[in-house]
Amino acid sequence: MNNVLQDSLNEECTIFCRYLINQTPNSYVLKKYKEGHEATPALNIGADDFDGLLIKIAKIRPFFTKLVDTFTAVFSKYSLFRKKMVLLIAILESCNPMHQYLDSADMSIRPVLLIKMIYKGLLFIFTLLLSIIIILPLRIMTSTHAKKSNG
Amino acid sequence: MDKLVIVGSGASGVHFALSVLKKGYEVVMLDVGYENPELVNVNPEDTFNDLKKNMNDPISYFLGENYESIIYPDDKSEYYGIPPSKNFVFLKPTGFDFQSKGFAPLFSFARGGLAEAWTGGVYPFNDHELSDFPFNYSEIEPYYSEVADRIGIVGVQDDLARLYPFHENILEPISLDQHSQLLLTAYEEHKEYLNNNLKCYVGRSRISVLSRDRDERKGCSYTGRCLWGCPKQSLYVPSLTLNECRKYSNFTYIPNTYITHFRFNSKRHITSVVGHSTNNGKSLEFPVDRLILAAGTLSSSKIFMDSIYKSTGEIIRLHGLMDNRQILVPFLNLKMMGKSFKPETYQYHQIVLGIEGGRLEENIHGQVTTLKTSLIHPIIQNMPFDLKTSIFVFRNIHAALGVVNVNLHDRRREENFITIEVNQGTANAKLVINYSAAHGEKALIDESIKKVKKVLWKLGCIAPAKMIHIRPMGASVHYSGTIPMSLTKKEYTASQYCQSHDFDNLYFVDGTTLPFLPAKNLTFTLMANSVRVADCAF
Repeated sequence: MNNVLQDSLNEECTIFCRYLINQTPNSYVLKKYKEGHEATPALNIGADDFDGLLIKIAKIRPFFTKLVDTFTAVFSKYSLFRKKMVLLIAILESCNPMHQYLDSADMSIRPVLLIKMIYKGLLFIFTLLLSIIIILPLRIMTSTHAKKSNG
Repeated sequence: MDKLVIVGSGASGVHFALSVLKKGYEVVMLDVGYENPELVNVNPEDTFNDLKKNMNDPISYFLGENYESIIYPDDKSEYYGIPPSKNFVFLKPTGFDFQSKGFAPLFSFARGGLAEAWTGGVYPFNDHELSDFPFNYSEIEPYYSEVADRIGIVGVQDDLARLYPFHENILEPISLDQHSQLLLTAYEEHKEYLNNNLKCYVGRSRISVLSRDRDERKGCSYTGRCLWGCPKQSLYVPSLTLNECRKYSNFTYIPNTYITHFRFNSKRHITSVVGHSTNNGKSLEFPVDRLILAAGTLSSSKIFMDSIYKSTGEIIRLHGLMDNRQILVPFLNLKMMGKSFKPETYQYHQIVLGIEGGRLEENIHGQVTTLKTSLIHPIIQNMPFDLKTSIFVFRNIHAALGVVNVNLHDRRREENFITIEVNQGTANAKLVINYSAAHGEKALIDESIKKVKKVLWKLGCIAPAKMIHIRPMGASVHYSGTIPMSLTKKEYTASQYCQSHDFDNLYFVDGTTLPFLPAKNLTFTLMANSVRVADCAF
């Protein structure tokens, strides 16, 4: 794997890890994220325009990661972005100390937990609407461009 | 005494072998026999989470050297996968080929067979379920008890006894996890309604695990590593019985041997079995006095069909292939939300719900697994939110989650068959499987899901409809019925002692001879039946 790709994956892993669990990945996680890409052809097949664009957008800042995460949850469940995130979640749950966050509950009392869940649900809906406004046009543009290129 | 040749080392083969070894027979077991790789640097005392801390490379252990155990998003995603330590169970020898329509089969050529990766549920068939069999419960009960004594089974005599007869040699149960305890408590509170209105009975699972030390095997110490391989041999696997067989001087185990067919003379008497070494491809042939096929229904049937083809040129079809349809019904127990789960617990199902239908075909067997230690990425990706929100939600409902693995019955039907396809120029024929669901199956599935959801609701749980997963046919791996037991001597059937009606010195001790498949795991019955055959016919 060349250095440019390696650096790109390190950057990706760091951004996605901070986004998902608010923690910086250690060297073991970074190494395993890279190895996971080497071992998994589906993560290395040339991404179509839209897949590649989603990953670039997701790396800008956490707000955009959230936007892409929400959009793909509904409209692109099998996208390259989601596959990369699933790889990372699988890595985090399998090693210490990262798994501890995934294994722990908030331990809020049930009414507080319910309020938090409702808040998260509303935030999901709001972000989804925003992602439709921002990302869906990009999807249409890249599809149109791809059709034109294919003649 | 005849020399017995057994093909296959799965659950039924090893128990048959042990029984006939005790009688003094000389036994040769031929097996491909892929082995469980020896795991280095894995401390048997470590719990599931200890491994993540103490191993040098836990990710290779949990996800595989090639990350093969990760389940990526696609429309066929399951909620759980096979850990890398169990990959050996599903390896296939070179040259083995199959084609399937309407069926997603799994094969095992491992030492110990498919049950090396099982979840340990052991449920005897009752009289009603045995009504198509040439024996009743009282005739097989001693063999259920014998196998229970051999492998170690825990359970209690509770409301489930009306559906799952309570035989001898059942040990005291292991500790119940908190969520399973809550479900049982809820059942007790609503028992009258559940029994009378929904015909549902809930109770402790019968599982093949030790609750106390026995010989070299230890009682369950709740490491939560069940799926990855019990480090203390508390959970029974057939390779343990194979090891016991290997202590007998009259037993010869020959691994790395792939048997493809048998030869027989003009009197339809089998003279030898033929195969090749999986190490170097060298042809092998072994003389036979009596041949016992225990390679699993699909493989045993293939050997049978290949043998007839190689001798006569005729390609036959074996009808009546059966398998249990399985439906995964995930649920959320509202009372467990926000709690932390305890990883030091038995990982598999500890509760069962049985629902009686008006007819035998409407019975439901549901193994209730509460979520404890598990790889969670398959579940998180299937939640209807973005992944970050899914992680937040999941962390707070992990302890509240569970799944009912619903099993439905199957019957032998003419339209479901297996055969072989021979390609010129290749030595090995291809197994061909043709299966289609029964007419009315969709309605049965819908009705079953509705009943299970009603039961769960009464137990304080909700079952989101969108997360229910109907597994493809073949996923339950309870294959059976291609050469059924029959009191009438007919072509491609077997006697009440599983002796072939086509070849006088051929026996089947795996699922090949089952005439009906109730809504229940069949492995315990296969083990008991093989011991019954050994006792009655040898």
